[in-house]
Amino acid sequence: MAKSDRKSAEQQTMDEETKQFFEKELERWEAVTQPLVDAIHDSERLSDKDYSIRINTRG
Amino acid sequence: MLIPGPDAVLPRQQLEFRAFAKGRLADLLKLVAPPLTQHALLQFGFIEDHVAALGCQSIAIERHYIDKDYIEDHAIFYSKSLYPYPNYCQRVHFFKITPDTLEETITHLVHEGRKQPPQQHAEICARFSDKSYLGFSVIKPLAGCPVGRTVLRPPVEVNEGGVQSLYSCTRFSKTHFAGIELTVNGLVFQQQDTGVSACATTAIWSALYKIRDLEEVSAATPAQITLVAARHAMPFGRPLPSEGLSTDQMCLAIHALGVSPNLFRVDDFATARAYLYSATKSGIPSVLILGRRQQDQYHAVTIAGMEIRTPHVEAAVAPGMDDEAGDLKALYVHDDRLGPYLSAEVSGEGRVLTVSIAKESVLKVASTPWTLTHILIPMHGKIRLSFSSMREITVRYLLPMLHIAIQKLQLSSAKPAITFHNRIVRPQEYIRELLDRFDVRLQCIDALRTTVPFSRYVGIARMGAPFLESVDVLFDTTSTMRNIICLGVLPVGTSSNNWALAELLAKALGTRLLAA
Repeated sequence: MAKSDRKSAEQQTMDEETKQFFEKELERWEAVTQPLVDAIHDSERLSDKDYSIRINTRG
Repeated sequence: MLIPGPDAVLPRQQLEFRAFAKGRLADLLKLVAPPLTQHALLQFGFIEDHVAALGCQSIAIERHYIDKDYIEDHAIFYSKSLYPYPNYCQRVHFFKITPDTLEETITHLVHEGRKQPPQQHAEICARFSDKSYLGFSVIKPLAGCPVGRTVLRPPVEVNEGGVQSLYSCTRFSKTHFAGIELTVNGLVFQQQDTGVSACATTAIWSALYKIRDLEEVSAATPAQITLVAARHAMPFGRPLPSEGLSTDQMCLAIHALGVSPNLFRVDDFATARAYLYSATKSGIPSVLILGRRQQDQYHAVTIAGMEIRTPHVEAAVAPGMDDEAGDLKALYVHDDRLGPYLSAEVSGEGRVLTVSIAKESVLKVASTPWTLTHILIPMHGKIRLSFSSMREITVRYLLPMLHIAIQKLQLSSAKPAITFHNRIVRPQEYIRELLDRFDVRLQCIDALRTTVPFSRYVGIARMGAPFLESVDVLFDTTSTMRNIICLGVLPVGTSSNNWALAELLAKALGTRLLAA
């Protein structure tokens, strides 16, 4: 807590060892997250077909 | 030049105060379904049912009301008909007060203005509205589609029996009746007339009504929306009578009115569900493009709120990633073929998300569930990190980093399920929410409000688990995916583990720990 107070609202930095640990572990996570990221990119990949749907249901 | 006397030319306003009785409102408003039309009073019936369920006891009718939307429809379209459609409407107000005291109460409220300064008088009127006013419906002089601009309170929010309803896409608006100011919280609705507007126009119109609560966007009438949509493209014929809009035209109309259209294709159930959940939780109304592809039929409705499962049920989208959006059970939609605040159950798996609109069977058309094909979210143009970007940042970077931080700090031996969701809100709204939470220390809120230079909207990724409470990571929504600006990490919890985790995450992201 005291450490948090001391470094409050300042840009936080990591030591080199921890930084490398994070980078290495993040690489391992890529296989897990890739399908989710692909699904997001698919939702954003719009073609002419997406823009040409006619919406006119009557009721 | 002679100025004619008021009785000779000017219509005389007639105010009528009546008891509300379900099934008799059409008679009171002199509505008769014309021949050769189907479902002319269907939407009217839904409105009657809705106010009855809210406890309506009395109504007040203005027989001569100039409605800003209808007068535009009239000028552009109906005035050019052979039949002399009047340019005025009726307006009916709904109250939860006994009919014998309604007129007296309204008169008393007006007279209070003599005794009270304006601000206090307005407060008295607001208290009356809060207690007794349910909203209003404009009744157009179009026998085949009478329901015009209608703003009604949503159903009472519930949090019992394993579900919680949330009407987050509504807003407060003021209206004036017989000398008093009335306030109602709702999302605007109207019946489609297929003259100046069909479902696509009406859905945009409802969504922009809520957006005006967040931004100073000019109020466009349905007729104006249809015309701006057809200004640069007319792929399916003439704009008036409205023959529907294309997705392209819907985007063009939203853009022309000063808002940015965010269109997403639905190719994955979990991703689409997450966008719907995030947008609705953020109070931003999405327009749903629904399809019955085999029949080449597409429809548009607007989200007013959602029903979520409670307590939370884990919905794993990947190992260690529990999407809070899995709690989404149903949406509340405005469907201009039916009525306002209709429950629409959400289900699906794999690539498909289906939406089943309650009570659609009354139309006696195919009542198979709709497939959600696209989500159109109107948002402020400065929001570059939209819901898709926020989700990508969260699943690609933040959740793995949080897991790595948990591992580094040895807070859990196994890979725990981290529950997450995203929102995009105005900073003031976020601070207000934090003030209501007693697990957020005031020193964190002070650090947030005094050290963070806010963007107009802040993107929030909240991640948590029972053993670590929650952590919020804040983003500048004016940044882009290539240049993501993280504004800080805020501990939403009080334990030392929570704070240590927030601090390590802030370090990993090279940003501020908001904990001064």
